[in-house]
Amino acid sequence: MDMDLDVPMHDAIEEQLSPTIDEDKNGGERDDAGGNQLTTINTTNPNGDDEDDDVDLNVGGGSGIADHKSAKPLELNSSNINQLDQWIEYLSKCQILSEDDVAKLCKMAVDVLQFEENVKPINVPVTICGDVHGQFHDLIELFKIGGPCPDTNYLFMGDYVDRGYYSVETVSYLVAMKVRYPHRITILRGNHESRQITQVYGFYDECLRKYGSAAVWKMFTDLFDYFPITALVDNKIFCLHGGLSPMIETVDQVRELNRIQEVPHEGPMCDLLWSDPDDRGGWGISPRGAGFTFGQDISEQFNHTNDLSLIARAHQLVMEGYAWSHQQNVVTIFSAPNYCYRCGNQAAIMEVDENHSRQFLQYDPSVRPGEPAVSRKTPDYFL
Amino acid sequence: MAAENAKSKDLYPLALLMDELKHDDIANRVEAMKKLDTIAIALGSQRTREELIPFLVEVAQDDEDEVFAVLAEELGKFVPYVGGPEYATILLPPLEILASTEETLVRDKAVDSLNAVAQELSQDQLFHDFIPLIEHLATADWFSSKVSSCGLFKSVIVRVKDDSLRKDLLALYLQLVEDDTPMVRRTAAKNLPVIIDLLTQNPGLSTNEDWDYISNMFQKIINDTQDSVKFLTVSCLISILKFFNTKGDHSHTRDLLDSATKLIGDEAWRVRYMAAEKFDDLASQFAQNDEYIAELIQPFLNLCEDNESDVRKAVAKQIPGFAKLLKDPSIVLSKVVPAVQSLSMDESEGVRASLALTVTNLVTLMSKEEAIDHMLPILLNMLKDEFPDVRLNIIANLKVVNDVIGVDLLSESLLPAITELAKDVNWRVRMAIIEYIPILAEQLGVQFFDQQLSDLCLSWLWDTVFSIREAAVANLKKLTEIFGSDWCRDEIILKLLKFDSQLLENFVYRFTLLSALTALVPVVSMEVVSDQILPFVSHLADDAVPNIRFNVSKSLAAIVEKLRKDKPTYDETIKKSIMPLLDRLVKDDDFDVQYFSKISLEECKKLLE
Amino acid sequence: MEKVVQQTDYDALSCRLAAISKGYLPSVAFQVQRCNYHGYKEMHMEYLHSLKSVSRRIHSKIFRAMQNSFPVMNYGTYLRTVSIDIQINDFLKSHSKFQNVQIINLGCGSDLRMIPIIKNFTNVTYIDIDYKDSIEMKRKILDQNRALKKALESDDDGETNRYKLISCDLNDEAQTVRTLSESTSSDSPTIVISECVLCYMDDHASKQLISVVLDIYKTGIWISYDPIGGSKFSDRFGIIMQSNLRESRHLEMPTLMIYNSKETYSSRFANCNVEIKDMWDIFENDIPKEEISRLKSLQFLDEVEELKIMQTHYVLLKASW
Repeated sequence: MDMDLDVPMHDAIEEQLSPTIDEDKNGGERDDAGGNQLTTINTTNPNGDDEDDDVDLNVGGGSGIADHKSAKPLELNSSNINQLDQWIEYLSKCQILSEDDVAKLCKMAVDVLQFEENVKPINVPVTICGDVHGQFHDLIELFKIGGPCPDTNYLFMGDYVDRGYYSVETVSYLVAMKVRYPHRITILRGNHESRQITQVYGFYDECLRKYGSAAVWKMFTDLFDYFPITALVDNKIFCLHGGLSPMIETVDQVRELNRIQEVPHEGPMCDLLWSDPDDRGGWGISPRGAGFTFGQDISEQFNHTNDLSLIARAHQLVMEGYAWSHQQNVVTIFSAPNYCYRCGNQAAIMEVDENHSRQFLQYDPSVRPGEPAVSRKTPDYFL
Repeated sequence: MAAENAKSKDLYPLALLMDELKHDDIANRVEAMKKLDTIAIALGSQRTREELIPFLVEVAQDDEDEVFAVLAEELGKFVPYVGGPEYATILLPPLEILASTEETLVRDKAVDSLNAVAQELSQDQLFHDFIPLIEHLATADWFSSKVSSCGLFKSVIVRVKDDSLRKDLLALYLQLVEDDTPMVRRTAAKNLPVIIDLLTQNPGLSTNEDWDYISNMFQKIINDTQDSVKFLTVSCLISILKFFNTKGDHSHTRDLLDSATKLIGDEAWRVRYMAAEKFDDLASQFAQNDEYIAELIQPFLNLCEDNESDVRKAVAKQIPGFAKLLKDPSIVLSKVVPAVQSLSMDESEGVRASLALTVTNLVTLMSKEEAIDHMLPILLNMLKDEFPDVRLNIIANLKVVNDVIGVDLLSESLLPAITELAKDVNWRVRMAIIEYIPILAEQLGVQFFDQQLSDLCLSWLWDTVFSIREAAVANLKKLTEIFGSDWCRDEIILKLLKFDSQLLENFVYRFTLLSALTALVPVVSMEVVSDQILPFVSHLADDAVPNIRFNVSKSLAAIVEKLRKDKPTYDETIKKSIMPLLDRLVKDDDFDVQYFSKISLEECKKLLE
Repeated sequence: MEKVVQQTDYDALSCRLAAISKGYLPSVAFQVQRCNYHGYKEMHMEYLHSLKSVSRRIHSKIFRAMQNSFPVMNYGTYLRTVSIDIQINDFLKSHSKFQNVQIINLGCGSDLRMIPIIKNFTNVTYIDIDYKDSIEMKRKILDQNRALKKALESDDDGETNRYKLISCDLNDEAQTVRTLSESTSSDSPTIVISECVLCYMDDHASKQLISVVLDIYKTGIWISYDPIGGSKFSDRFGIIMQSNLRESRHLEMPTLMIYNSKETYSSRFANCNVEIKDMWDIFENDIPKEEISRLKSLQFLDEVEELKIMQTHYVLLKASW
């Protein structure tokens, strides 16, 4: 019996270790870093299908979910509503859909999302939520606090996948809700709704693990290209995942962007998904390596120019679940409690009522369900 | 792949499995292992024995724990696949290897599977194969083998009819109890009660010599230097007592009582903890003799005053159980109640919460007067505890108190306790108290309730957390089921409808009000529905928020369902005011309003047919 | 418990391998130029390769773990590794070539620092100490692998007694005293390293270990890296860490909440001259800009806040006596 695995394993190590290790490389120059950072992410494709090996994972469209786009928005009828209700029922128990059903769902979702504007207009009342990051059970807790959809209207500001252990369930559930109740729930794109980031932060691996191939990952990442990037609540609250861009002065300029693409490495669309507010004034270099930091002067100017009362955004872990900055010109909302199962933070959502009064609701992690000991992962620590 | 599979079905299953088991990705190997039974069926029993099992013996020596775990589990079901019990011993070698691995989970599964296979073995096979396997594991160098062996004795001990062989097995077990490695001694101690209980179930089987061994093991464990071994003696002791009690042999009881008091007063807190945790069970083994029980009183009180809060926490739950064994109520009052008194003021909140779980049961051991004099002050104090769980646990277990002394005496403290809990920052605490309200309502009666609690119940409707509002709505429905429609109209609905109109400018308040009224429809009279609820619901049909409008549709369907039962009176209301409203909502601008209204309309039409 | 603690070495090793595979380590600025480490990647690859023939199980565990590496972990591994390397290097460089210096790595696990250090400093005696099983595994690997074996026999006579692998249960005071007295010299200046070792010991045992070591050696420095639980009332990091590790791996950190701040952690070395920083201080103040932008170019570090939370809960202490 030949149980020797030396050859393939050894090759795999070589492959794993060699391409990124280059001691002579000096990645220090800023201009280089700015443009190339995203592309230098090295993605070995662990145990992927043979057919995947020749495919560039960072190019969209491969999944076919957008091959037959409809010319008008998806019409809900009793048969597809029935189908969606079944999926939602199933997903709400944290069970994944079959690969075929994910394909059907994503095709329907393309026909809903492609018709939404870059700046999606939203009416009050609405409950605004930040990052969820695959913490499915905490998303269910969120609905216990804020009320179920469709009775409550929701606006999610991106980052549904990566980091948590249930990205597939989380994004499937939210997309299914979006297709079923397009007027009751809005799902914006976050910087993690991207092919490149999901290969580093877990969604890609989770899809491989749960479906045995990258097909479902391809469908969802192709779908992410259609997510709207900002929303405007009653013309007063500008909502987006990251923050402002030096190339965007007016909300109308956002409307001009071509958003149906992978999140670019730079430029206005990238900034909207990556930037952070900062105590320092003006524009600054982001410690994240994409987007910018912007100061109170910038926020005030933007709100003034566009007659806004507030910028609501997510993207940053804040210990209380929400945090004001720039003298209440900007609010950060983060909806993943005990982020990555180890940060100890509270989560929050923001209810905006018909009179534009705002109420923050904070919450703690749901009680973690029992999982079998072998499959249960420990959050990473240095040991 | 599929075509290939079909073509090579009969030839290749083993080759395919081998391929899969060489896959680099562990997930593939685990999946392949899970299909082991299918492969065995495809191969047939002979080839399974001759090819598959030898292959698995090899696999069992070098793979990962996840794969081992599946293999160990699968092999437990394999007796039919190898050709039935007569060939079952062929499964022992791979399972023996798996029972020797480091990973506890794998070992546990291998032991379970070995025990499952042992069930199918004949006496002869047990003797020739299984017992040697136990001996082999028990005398291995490696601790994990020994640990596994401890879990296997239970499969053979009562099936061995030969006294000298059983003695040998017990002698082997004694070696494990005396092993150098604490982990082995611990597992041996943990499994000893199982073996003793088996002997109890087969009382004619064991000899005095067997009991010499068991007594010897007991002495070793009780004198172990490691607390984590020694604390397992408590369970052994209980099992031994059960054996002799079943036999009616009380000649050892005195000695065993001494062992019990020794454990209860042990220096190591883990040992005392275990004694406290199982005190009730332990003490009831001495119930036939009042003197013995009396001797346990002081040790028991010592546990109540233990330095370690975990010990006090464990014993606090055992109080009513032990008190019941004290047949003299005066001792309960003079000894137990003072201990309860001091535990109720314990510095550790965990101890107090644990006490609160069962302490109310003590009142059943007293007269009404005694309960009022002695227990009531303690309970009232606990209702004022700063830690919410203490209050919640008392409130959840008030029924017995009510049965003995009536609840009026409690009410003065009960109400502030409930009010406090109702404001707790943790919404799950608020939720818990709401869930107790209907139970309390039944016990307290309507009068007390109206004065004190109905405002509180209404206030929960305006909680910031949705789940609390939802529970508050459900609570109102349950209360109406208890107190009736008139009460609901006067105390709930009329108050709700008088609700501050300014607050109703907020969507959440309107939505909650609508939900509450809709929930009440099935449980109030038709008159209330038509006179109070319907006008309000109809008025919301023009609400600016679509979410309200589609819930109006749902509400209207519930109203029709109710009112159609008295057609002569309400036919006109339905036809002239409700149906036109639904007709209008079906044409709403909002898709969801249209959709839910359509469903309501169809439902109503069906109901009216 | 012993086994569970031993297994934390696999975490440390897989973290280091992950950081190497993504290019965080070796750091040219710190490890290559300043500490003169060469062949860093190669020696780790050799080690990993030989590990497989010693245990496929462990190899496979490590191999899988290193593939799922998040930037936040790679940054932390980088910080931990280079800052300890620098501390060691600075101390060694402050001593004359002719002065014998010894390094005692307590709970060494699979750490391979001894290879470049033995080569660079001919005056160094390096003693790796750990549980018996860990030492046996390491010895097997080092014996089996020609390149590694050779690297450790760098002296001209082809034989070295400057590197020792010794098994000892550091929880056992008597055994520790005996082992250290037999295998080390109490007069030489000594570097003691404990990288995530004290955190697994109960308070009493760790106090004993510290006092034993400080008693035996006349002069030296102790470099210790450990998590701290956090001392602020609202800080739940430590409590969550304890319960996560307890629930999923039965791993206990008995003193995490006792030595929960830089101050309380330093108090363990009350009679020494102590410098302590948390790893976030080091990231913010001690890593030059060029190096940070090099790290940024390797992988997208998405969340700086998360990095900060993690790194403010790990400390690096240097105690001199």
